[in-house]
Amino acid sequence: MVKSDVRAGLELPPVTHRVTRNNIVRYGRLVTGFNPLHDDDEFAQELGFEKIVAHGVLHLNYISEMLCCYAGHPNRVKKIYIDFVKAVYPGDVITARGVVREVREEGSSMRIVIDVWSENQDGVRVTDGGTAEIEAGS
Amino acid sequence: MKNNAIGKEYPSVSYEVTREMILAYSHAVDETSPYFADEETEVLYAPHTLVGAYTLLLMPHVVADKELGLDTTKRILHVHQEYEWKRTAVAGDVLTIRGRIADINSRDERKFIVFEGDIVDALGEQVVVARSTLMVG
Repeated sequence: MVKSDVRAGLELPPVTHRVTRNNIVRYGRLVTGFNPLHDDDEFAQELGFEKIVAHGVLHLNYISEMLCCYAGHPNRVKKIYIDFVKAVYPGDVITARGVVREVREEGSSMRIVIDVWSENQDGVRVTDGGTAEIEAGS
Repeated sequence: MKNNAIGKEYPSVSYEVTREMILAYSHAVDETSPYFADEETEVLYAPHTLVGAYTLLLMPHVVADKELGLDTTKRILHVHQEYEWKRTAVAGDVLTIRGRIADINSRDERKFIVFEGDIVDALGEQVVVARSTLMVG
């Protein structure tokens, strides 16, 4: 939860999940799939990937989960802008991270701007350059 | 792919956010917060990325758009995502996605296409704007 002494440089509690092939298959069944990159190993290999690649938005949810846990309520998560920079494969362990960049007072509430990214088990960033905003107080 | 498709709008798509959809989505992304995963809760919230992910419901229109000429047998990578939430969708919301092509540009012989989905509720109030950038080639 957001404390009153939130300030630039504060690190959010990270969120870690292992992305399994099962996650990717289940996710692919939910959203209208048009890209065989997510369910066809041969197709993925023809494009130069090791195997099927997880949907970017699947693991982007780890970042929104981290933000929501910190903000304390779903409606306080207001914005995420982010780049997907590296493929996430079945078996990868992804950690979502965030560091507060700026705290602005907006009337009776606060707008907290957070640098966000996520990295794999080797510490390599799979999403990067992210900006998120949450609301706090009021 | 044709740059003159910038600004093009696709037929809007409506769907209901059901409890089953939310619980299945939460399960797929390992979301365990009671806001998103408690079967017994009165107000079940949709995980933040769910509503954006369902903008893919527009893809059949996009893929069938000969004027745009998106070749789905080629390498298509999702390279950037933006979400701006006014509120979080909940089970029972009937949402309408108004989709358009916000931009098409080229860098290093690759095409970048930006889809924008403006997602509104049954009262016409905005819930979220989702912008997805796909890299083709």
